Amino acid sequence: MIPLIPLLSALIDPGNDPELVRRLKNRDPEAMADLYDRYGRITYSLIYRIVRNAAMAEDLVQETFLRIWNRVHAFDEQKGALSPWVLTVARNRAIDYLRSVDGRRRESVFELEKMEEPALFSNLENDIMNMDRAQILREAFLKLSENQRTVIELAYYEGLSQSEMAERLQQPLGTVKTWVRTALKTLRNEIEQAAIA
Amino acid sequence: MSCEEMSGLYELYALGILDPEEKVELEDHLRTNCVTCSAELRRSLYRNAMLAAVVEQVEPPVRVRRRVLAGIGIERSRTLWVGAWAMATACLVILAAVLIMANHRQRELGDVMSMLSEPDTRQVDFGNAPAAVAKGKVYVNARRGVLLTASGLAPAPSGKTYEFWLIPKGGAPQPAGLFEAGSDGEALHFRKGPLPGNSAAVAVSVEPSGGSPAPTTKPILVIAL
Repeated sequence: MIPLIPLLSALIDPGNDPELVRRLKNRDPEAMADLYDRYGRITYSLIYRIVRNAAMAEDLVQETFLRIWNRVHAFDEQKGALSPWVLTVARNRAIDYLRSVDGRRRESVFELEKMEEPALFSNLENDIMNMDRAQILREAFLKLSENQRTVIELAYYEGLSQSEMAERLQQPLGTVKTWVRTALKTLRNEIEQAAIA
Repeated sequence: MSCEEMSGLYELYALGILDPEEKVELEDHLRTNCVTCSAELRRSLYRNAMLAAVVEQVEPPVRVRRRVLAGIGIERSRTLWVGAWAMATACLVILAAVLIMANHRQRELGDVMSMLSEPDTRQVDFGNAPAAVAKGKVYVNARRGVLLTASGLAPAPSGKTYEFWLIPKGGAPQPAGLFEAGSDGEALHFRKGPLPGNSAAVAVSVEPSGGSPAPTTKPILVIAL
């Protein structure tokens, strides 16, 4: 089972992120401390969940915040959503590390970095931003089968492609693809239906 | 594939785990600037972030914060300049708790506050080596005095106390007051008043209760100013 103790307060309440981004762009040293105070724990928790090594998690948290600091100039504080950007960078740093230690890096560095472009985190709907996601996600995960939860874990926390999952689970690729897409569709529908309700 | 068919692939694409042939097709389509699919990619990134964040809570060690700030080269400047008030405030909170509980040292608290708020007060960190007996900070102001804050300092043995010393360059240590460490290893000591112009270091040694005019044991801490 995926541990479902949510750490989503930062996502549920984006708070004064636009002002924080503006201060980061202005190179206000206090802003970096505030950014860490807001997202440090969730970032560390996510990275630790992926790499399962405290010392490495510390390194990758540092790398994550350094990356945010170095790229924040391209982030639109008025239209951008800071928390998903920070979490995406954190998850990608951790996955990139996993891939580097088990020889799966391939072209993934470039692939992952493409998905960290600040412009991609703009113009997200407000209704998605304001839901009680913790409960929604808890309920959504409970609707997945064990196989579906397994492949979601392998995708999010180990960064395995569907082919790699099939090899790991010793299942036909078509079966794995069905599990993955059904699981994602279920999660997506639950989140979006809750947003409409 | 149609936009609708592709919409089921964007989470995988955003996670960097889409199989190559599907990725090529999807990226070709994105290059057409399809508004629908561009929006779907952004939504997928956001959903991925939400799902990735459903993890068990783990409290990071305190040092991670320091490392993050040091990593962008602002910890020192923050410590010395911009964050001086924040640090002074944190220090004063500790001091206030200790001093107010003592209930008779409000005047000393005022002196400490005055010293910490001076722009020429310097901070010196100590005890970062693994084998250090304690770690902490020394705040130095040539006109106002010197403040020692330490943690991890074991209480002095029975019948003993800690004595603070000012060490002038090339001279003998000068007594600068006695202090105790709490059971939690925390210690604070303020030596009020102008420092000798040639003060080069401060030190702490274990001395008999009542103190000594000169160190009788090898100092456990020597901190260059």
